Amino acid sequence: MSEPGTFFHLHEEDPVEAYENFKLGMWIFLATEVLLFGGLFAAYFIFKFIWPTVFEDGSSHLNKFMGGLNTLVLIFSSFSMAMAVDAAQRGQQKKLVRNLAITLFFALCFIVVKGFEWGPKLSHGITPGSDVFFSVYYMTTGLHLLHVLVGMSFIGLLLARALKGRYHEENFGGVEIGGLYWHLVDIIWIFLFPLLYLI
Amino acid sequence: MDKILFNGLSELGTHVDRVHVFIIAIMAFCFIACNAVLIYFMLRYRRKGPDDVTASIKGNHLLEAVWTIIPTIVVLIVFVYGVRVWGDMRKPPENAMTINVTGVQWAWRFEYPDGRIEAEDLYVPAGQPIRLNMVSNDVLHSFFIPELRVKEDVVPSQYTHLWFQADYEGVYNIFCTEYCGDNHSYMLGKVHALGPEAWDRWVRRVPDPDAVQLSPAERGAKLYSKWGCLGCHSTDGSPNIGPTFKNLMGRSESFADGSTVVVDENYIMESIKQPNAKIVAGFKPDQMPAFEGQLSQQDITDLIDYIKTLNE
Amino acid sequence: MSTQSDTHYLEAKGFYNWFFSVDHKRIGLMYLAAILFFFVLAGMAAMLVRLELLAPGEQFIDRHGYNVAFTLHGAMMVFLFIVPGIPATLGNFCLPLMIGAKDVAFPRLNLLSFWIYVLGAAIVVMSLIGPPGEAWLDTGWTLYTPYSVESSSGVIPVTLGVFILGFSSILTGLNFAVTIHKMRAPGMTWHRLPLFVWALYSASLIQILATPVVGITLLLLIMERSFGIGFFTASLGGDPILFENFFWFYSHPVVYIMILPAMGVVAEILPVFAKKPIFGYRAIAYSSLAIALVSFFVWGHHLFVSGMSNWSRWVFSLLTFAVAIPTAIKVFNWISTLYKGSIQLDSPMLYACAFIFLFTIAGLTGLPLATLATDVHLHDTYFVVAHFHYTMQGGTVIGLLAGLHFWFPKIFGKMYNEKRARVGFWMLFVGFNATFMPQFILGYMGMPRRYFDYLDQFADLHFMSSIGGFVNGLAYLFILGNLIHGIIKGTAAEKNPHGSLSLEWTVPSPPPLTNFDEIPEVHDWTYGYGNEQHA
Ligand code: HEA
Ligand code: HEA
Ligand code: HEC
Ligand code: CUA
Ligand SMILES: [Cu+2]
Repeated sequence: MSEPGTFFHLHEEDPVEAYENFKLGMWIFLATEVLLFGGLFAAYFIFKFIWPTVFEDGSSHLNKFMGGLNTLVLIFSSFSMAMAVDAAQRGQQKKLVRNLAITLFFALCFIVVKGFEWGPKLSHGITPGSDVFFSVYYMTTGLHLLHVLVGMSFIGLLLARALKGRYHEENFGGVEIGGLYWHLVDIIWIFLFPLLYLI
Repeated sequence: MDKILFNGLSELGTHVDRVHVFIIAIMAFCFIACNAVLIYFMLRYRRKGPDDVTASIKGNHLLEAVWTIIPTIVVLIVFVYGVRVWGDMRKPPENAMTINVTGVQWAWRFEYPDGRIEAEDLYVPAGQPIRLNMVSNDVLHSFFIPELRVKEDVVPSQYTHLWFQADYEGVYNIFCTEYCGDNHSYMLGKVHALGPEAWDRWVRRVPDPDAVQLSPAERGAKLYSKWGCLGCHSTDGSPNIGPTFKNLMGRSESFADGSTVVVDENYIMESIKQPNAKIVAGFKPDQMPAFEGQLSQQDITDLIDYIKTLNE
Repeated sequence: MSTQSDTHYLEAKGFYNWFFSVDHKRIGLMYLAAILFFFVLAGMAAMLVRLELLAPGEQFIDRHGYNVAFTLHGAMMVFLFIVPGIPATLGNFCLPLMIGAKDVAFPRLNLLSFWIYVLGAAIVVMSLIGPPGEAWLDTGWTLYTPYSVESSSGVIPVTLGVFILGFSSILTGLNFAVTIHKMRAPGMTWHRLPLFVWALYSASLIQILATPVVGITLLLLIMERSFGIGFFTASLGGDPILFENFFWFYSHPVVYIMILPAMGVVAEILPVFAKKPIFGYRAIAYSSLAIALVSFFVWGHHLFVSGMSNWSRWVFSLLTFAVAIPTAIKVFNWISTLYKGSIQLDSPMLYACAFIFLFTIAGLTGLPLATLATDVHLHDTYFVVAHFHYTMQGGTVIGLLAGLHFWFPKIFGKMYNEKRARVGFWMLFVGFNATFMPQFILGYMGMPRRYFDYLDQFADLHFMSSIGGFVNGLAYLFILGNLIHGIIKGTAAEKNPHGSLSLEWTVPSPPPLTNFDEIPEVHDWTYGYGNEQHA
């Protein structure tokens, strides 16, 4: 092919510039995520206002211990993610890999605990269609779970690249952006937990 | 436009129409003012040649302020006027008579304080404020009397209300204005505003001596559309939500539980009063409302006569 | 290696070079082809609607078919045509050129948005060519619950398709916002930006912030249908009105996604053809932002008779009026731009002036809808139908056509036939007004919308509207035909045929593959047209 192809990048990008762009892009993307969940939170408050007793009753069926455990798990994972970003910025290869792996492990724990939470409920016939509370419960936690899964693939990718030694002092943008996303997933849970389980 | 606005049928409607005209005047003024200037500029400053000299005006703060403040004032006036008249529309007078309205796909049902039920036709005394307390059985509908300028949605999860007063005797349209499915455009009705005598007759259920006498099957045909049977039962042989009425009489019908019956008058009467007693195979229970207590025996007989005419 | 400017962007041929190109100009063109395809499809559905409404009673299609026809018409026009509309086509093409960049911030993401659009559109279309009859969507474009939960039609595939289209819209918005923030050429300060860029920026903010909400709403609708969750179902404690609120929280701001870019196009064209600086640059720029901001708080004006509480009704009425002010400011500034100009009424300028004319009608008829007492009567009548066709067709579509004619020489390097373009314009202008003017009167008379059949008293005006509708349709045929003829047979265009000062006209037509060999340096704003002699 001697014709000028247009598939590939047409011009060289300045890496610093590209990194700045990506970071802004990620922040904007996080704003859209907040609004996505914002709709569900709005629904939560509206229904709680209309049906306070349904919500009290439904909330009492939730396992506070498992919810709390998962909150801790996510907080730890956020911490290890922050360590990973720090390691990437300093170019500490081993520490980076270790912390990414730990984050991934915590995320997996979260999913396992979630499974133990959902499983018995579903088998006892408490389904998304039971009442408004459980509609809200399954939709919010389900959508959050989806985000955990997406986050895990993201971190998995970072891990694979870190193992190949792709990140160093001059190139750590990917890790930082992955970190931003993961913190958001964490923060959303930190709002969900008290709303659904505690009050 | 004389008939379209200011039909003089109700006081409230007249108030609303004044707001309409007020806004139309503002719209017309703004439209003409803006576009007269636009067209004038377009013609006045047509390009004469490549060397035309043009002004290099970049803006004017004073003008900017003026055309921010004036429209703000104008819309505030419109807003206040609109809210005030609308406030009256939301407050039924103390002496209003309350009628319960149910919207179903695709008919209106009216329940009077004394328990009397009507469908499609809403009879009210002229000159008396009426408050409608409305709810839907299924999807969203909207109750609209264009001549009287009132409208409110009819919702399954909550009661909504509106009020109106027809000052004079007459017959006015009811439209359903919230899209509700296939027969949305046939979810029509009439408001009959009756004079004192006619109202009195209606309350005592004395038939109007001047009314044309219909045959039982003709009355049945009216009932068929009035009570919304047409929403679920076709007359052309095609199944809908319910089985078709074509060739119903004498047909051998099989049921969900495997039994069969040859359709006769008694079976039809039972199906109308308690639809869930026998569920026709291929159809769902709990779809059809039970008409027990709503249709008189006379009505049912008329309906059966009508159904008989649908046999080939 | 040859320098890039030897080859213009249209040169490379072949499937691969088009469908996997990350070049913003090609992506813009592909979007253009796609949205025009759906415009024609949706327009055909409109022709069916108008045929059926020629006279009372059943004419050509039955009641169910009619409901399907207006639903497909509205849904395709909105989601597949007008929302991607100007930003994805002209915006994609012009934005980097106008700010002096080689591409958008994320070229690959741009391509991805396009493919997500194609995927979403394909799912919508599949549900159309699937099993016919019952499966075709019949809920109206607004998808109100509970009807959309109960309807036996293909709500899920269409909803899923629209949900996916939402991602495309978000990504485009995100891409543009970052591009405008980060990719401006040296010297291109915010206050030197072309107004089209300001408009795109405001529209992207809405795309970014409103689309996720409709995403979650549609997701909930899908869940409601497939798993029986109870957000909108009354029997489970849900609330059908909540759906309306969620839906309009997106779908009101979305009307400004449609109109702001069109306003931007007009603000580009007026100064060029009047040879005058734009009047009130900052007022126009900031009013775009103001509109974008306020538009988030007015959605309730679609629910004035839906059972909302009384106090929210009047709050929303007040806020709706607030949105009219920045719009009014724009109109006045555009008109003032023409004062003491040297006005050349070529087809782009004709469209731009028609935009002002039609949009004043469109916007002013928003006033009785925003007023509580009058909206009670007008809600869900043909008055609303007329209002939104004036805004969307008289506004956005006319704006799109203005921009297409304006940038045509730049995009294709060819010229269309100007005389025929003017004939097409006048056909459209007459046909359009003949279609929708009568509908305002129908609305005052109380003719409800989404009615397959109607009382005899409405017959005359409906007949007029139908005839106008056909003229309107033929006008589009003529206009598009002329443009396509221009692409194939047109004479070669100059670099800058209209004498514009903005950056996209400083590069050859059609532009080279990488736009600028060297990123230009900007020393002045784009509107320095006036040639008054001071000394
Ligand atoms: C491009 C799309 C677009 C735009 C720009 C607008 C602009 C506006 N719209 Fe419209 N609207 C729609 C698309 C749009 N709309 C659609 C699609 C629907 C119906 C959807 C459906 O139900 O299917 C709808 C429905 C709709 C309703 C609901 C009606 C109902 O269902 O009952 C209302 C109510 O307030 C409304 C109001 C307004 C107002 C106040 C503006 C304002 O922004 C207009 C501001 C402009 C001006 C005011 C004119 C210019 C100014 C002057 C000439 C100066 C003089 C002005 C003053 C003195 C004020 N619109
Ligand atoms: C971008 C938005 C857009 C555009 C451009 C249009 C364009 C048109 N609309 Fe649109 N319309 C909507 C958006 C739009 N509409 C929406 C959102 C609704 C609400 C739906 C709902 O209630 O759910 C609606 C509803 C609606 C109704 C109300 C239906 C009802 O409530 O019952 C009507 C009725 O007249 C109508 C008519 C038309 C006509 C005649 C055109 C014409 O301008 C179309 C002309 C275009 C073409 C015809 C295609 C191109 C032409 C050719 C390829 C040539 C071949 C043509 C011929 C054979 C004549 N539309
Ligand atoms: C909301 C839908 C609905 C409405 C309205 C409705 N029906 Fe039905 N009807 C059904 C369904 C579904 C069945 C079949 C299930 C059953 O047997 O209950 C049915 C069954 C019947 C049958 C038995 C038919 C057969 O083939 O055996 C008769 C008779 C009948 N309806 C009469 C009426 C009459 C008369 C009216 C109006 C006054 C009416 N229905 C209104 C849904 C409806
Ligand atoms: Cu009931 Cu429309
Ligand atoms: Cu709106």
